[in-house]
Amino acid sequence: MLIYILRRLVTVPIVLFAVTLLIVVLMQFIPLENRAASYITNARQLGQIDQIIKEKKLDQPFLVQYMIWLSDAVRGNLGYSKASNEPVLETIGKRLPASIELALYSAIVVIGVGVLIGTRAAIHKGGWLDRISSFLAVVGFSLPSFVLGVWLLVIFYGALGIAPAPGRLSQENEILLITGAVKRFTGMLTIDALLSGQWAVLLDALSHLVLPVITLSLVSTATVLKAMRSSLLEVLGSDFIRTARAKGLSEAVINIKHARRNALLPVAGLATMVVLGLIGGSVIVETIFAYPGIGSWVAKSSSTYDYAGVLGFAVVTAIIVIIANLLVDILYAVLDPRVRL
Amino acid sequence: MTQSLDSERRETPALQHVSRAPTRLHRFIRHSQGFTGLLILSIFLISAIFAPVLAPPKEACARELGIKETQTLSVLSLNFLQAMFVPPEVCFEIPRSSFADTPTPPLQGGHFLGTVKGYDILYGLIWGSRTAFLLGISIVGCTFLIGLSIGLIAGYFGGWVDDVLMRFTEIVFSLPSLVLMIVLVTIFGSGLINVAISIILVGWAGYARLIRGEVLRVRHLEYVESARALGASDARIILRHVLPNSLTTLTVQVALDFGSVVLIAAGLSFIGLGAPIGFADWGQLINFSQAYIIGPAGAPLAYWFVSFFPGLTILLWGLAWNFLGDALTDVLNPKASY
Repeated sequence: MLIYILRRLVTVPIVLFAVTLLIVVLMQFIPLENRAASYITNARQLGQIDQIIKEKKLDQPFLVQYMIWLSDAVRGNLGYSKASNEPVLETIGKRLPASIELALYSAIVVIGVGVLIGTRAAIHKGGWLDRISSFLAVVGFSLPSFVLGVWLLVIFYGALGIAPAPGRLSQENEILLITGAVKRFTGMLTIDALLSGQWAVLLDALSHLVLPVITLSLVSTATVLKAMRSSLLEVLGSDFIRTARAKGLSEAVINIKHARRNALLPVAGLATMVVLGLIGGSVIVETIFAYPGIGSWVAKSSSTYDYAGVLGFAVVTAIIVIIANLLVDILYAVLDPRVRL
Repeated sequence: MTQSLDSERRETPALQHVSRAPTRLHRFIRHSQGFTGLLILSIFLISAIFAPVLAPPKEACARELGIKETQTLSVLSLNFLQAMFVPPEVCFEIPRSSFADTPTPPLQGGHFLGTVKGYDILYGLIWGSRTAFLLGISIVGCTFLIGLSIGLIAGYFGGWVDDVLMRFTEIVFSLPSLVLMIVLVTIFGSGLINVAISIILVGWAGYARLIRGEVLRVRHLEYVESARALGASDARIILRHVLPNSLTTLTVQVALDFGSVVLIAAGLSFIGLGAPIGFADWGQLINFSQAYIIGPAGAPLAYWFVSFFPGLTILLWGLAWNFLGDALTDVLNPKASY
């Protein structure tokens, strides 16, 4: 087990190296002056572009550039974001918790609903839940988040008035953040509010999360649900299930203890990919719901040619994905001894 | 007596012919989802092809075609043919009737589906279906061809091509595809062509992996071995023996991608990376509608049409290709029952 983890750990720097290399390769397509401009912090420095090019060795061979970029990145200097008007890392630090919060709730919905309903749908194949869920899955695959999000806002915020306005908090609660009545522990509002004992803020934050979470998780839930259903159907048709039935075990024990555990394994890998895909989806969803995470920031960065912002986002995403994959692989090895071989 | 029996017997093959298993085409048409999908897509295709008829050229577009706005295009005139097959690019720009902030409701002022920011929604949707088909054909065509050739080479010959391909796809897949696309479009600069290039650059690797897997699956099957034993060339084995066996998976993937690729492009347009402002593109119309989520005081649903029609169009497009993909899976692979 330890050897497996060590072997798996060795791949992390390799993948990280490859991804950062890819990002620096992509940078070569950006005009030199624009790349230098992603280091300046105000307009007065525009005259020093040539100096920055020299300092960061942007006119030197590719590998030199890569080393300079890497040593900068390791020290936390990913450039200056024009979209947020502060260093890239600072923006990410401020906005990442909000995005993680959104992704966390979405992941709970994706995995929870996907696995539970997928199980039910497979056990009662052809039943009403199966039919409804397969219909919803088709709609989920066909309805992109930017349409769903706008429609949900039109209906629940515009027409019915039961959903709050886009944003992360209502104005009166935003003030509590500034005055420090809600202390910053994690940057995730629901957790911070809970720890500060501010129930009104907690409820407010949760109500602001409902529509974005639905929008972000619909497609992914449909994917996991479909995978869970077909995986479980396959397992239910296998010999050891027939043996279990022949032994006279109850259907509930067979379904949950024997079948679902085995069916979950292939789904877990897919679910990881799906949950990581939420990072991409959050760019669109956060834009619709004016949610102050890294997604809405990168959407603004990309349309204002804020190269430092977009590339910084890519680096952070890559690191998150690599760490998540590592954790899931280790988890897999714990759950399924065959992986360790 | 024996003669009549014989003649009866001779007729039986004809009877068998009547009751034989339905062809794939029959099964496809009978497949209710497949039929619905095909129906919706033919509506899209018609509106894309006949865009100049359904949403007649106006303003700059009409000027470039050398016609008056009020004049209806006579079929078979040179102007008409030009508008149908090689319309000037300006025709993709939605005519703007005003700079008014409030959207015009449907059926008013000659705007069948209303306007948003002064842009005619119907015009945007109809010419937008042209944009959609052009995007779909070019992106799926390119990703397919690049992925097919590299996947075949990597799968069939293995070696360093295979190694390079697999390492490369691992790196590409280590970032969520949408993130990578956003990075690429930012670097290349916004615009539909750059969006298409970005999607192709990210998308081909998926096809290559799919095809590589298929090739590996069939490469060592007995009939391929025997074809090789008979002295068939590599090219012949690939084209005649390996490829046709992977066609089912590929066809389904192409159908699904045709739908999703356009939705991705629309999504990038939505965040402002795709089409220039005013270009007939579904994603951009949704982008416009963001400003009109809530109506004026007292009539919160007053601007429903601004997000409803473009959203419905996008939903139907996605549904149609998904239906088609599902139907193709069922029809081409009768063993798959769920």
